[in-house]
Amino acid sequence: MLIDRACPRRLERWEWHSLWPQLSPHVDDTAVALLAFVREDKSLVRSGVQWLERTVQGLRSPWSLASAVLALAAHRKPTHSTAVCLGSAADLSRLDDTSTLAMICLALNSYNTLSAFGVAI
Amino acid sequence: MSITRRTLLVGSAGLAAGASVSVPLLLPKYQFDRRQKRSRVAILNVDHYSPKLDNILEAALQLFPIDVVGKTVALKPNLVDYLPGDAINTHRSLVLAAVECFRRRGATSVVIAEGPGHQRDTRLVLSQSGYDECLGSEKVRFVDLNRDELVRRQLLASYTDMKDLWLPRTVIEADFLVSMPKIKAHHWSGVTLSMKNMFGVVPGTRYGWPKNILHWAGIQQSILDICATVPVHFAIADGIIAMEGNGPLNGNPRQLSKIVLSNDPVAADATCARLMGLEPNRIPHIREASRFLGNSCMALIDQVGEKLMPPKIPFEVMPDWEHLRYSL
Repeated sequence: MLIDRACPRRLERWEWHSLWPQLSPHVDDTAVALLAFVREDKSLVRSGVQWLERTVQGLRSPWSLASAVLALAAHRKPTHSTAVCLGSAADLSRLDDTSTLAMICLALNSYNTLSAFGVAI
Repeated sequence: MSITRRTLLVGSAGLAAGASVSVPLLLPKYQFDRRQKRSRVAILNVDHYSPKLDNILEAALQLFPIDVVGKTVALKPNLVDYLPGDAINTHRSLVLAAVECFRRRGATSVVIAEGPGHQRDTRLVLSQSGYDECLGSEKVRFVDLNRDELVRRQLLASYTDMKDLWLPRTVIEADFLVSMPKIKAHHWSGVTLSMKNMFGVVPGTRYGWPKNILHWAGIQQSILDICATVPVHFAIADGIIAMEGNGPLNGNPRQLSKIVLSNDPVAADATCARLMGLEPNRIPHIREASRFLGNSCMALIDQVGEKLMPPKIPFEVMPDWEHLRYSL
């Protein structure tokens, strides 16, 4: 179920079977799933990471950006430009929900965050 | 036949046990009656989204005796997730038109408030569905109800086993709450209209996505408990492009070309259902709500604006809800 939700190729296959229009995978859910699969080297996980790298390019939403930075860092992918984008997001000063602010702080300090969970990057 | 003391005692005990089981089943699950003597519904024919919707809406609002002078108004659209097209979410142009109208009518503040049920990243839904740009240019405040400050509220009906809910302060403290649903068929509740739209006030950070607790407690039952506890003062339903089939996300767009307004959410939903070619009193939450929250019976609804004309072909619904469709 986790793989179905996280990986686009798998999701597309499931939707093809059910003849439903395609729903895009969610960035934050995909990122969390990829964090759970950090020690897996399956092709589905690799395709999920690639999808996340592509998708994050046009994103401006802090919650999804922060989730993506953590997942990409855990999979040892470059995150500098995404982190810069996150730090300079236009509406950060208007954010009033603490969960998003906490996620941003964790993402901008991803090395220490992931170390705390035993993930070396 | 003589009755011994033993027989009498056993019989009395049996009666008492029976009563303790059956009386709660017979008691109503609500303790008040919020129904108006008569409700008013306006149907507008509008065939496309445009920046001029505020003029159309303003003219329609004059058909209702609404006083929002000095009041805080919360508009609750239906924003679930984003897919290209206009069939899933309440269209931004209608919501912004409502903002403009309530401001003109003297509201002290008008906020847009929603807690999407499918997508956790509310900002992403706002940007993808075009709301973000409009919110900035119109200087409208948006409150993410999934992450708002919460207040504990005892439920005012008991269709579910939940005794209370933590609800967003923005909604609880609003003087005038407007439900702005998208008119859609729904695979689990038959339809999603102004009452089902209130699922969005239940915070995801507390109850999960897609508001899991409510699904487990029963969707129809939860709708009733929420609407009993959080009164909807007005409904403006977006049916310009509606959705039929496997809603709320995977259905097909259906050009209905209607906006429905009402001072009674039950009357609004019953009218929307009729416009979809569905029988409202076969939809459990509408039928039950008409006992204490509002009017679904046409004889108790003053119809203004356009005439109510059910479609020649009723909306497609999932097989479980086929019985809702008017017979052809």
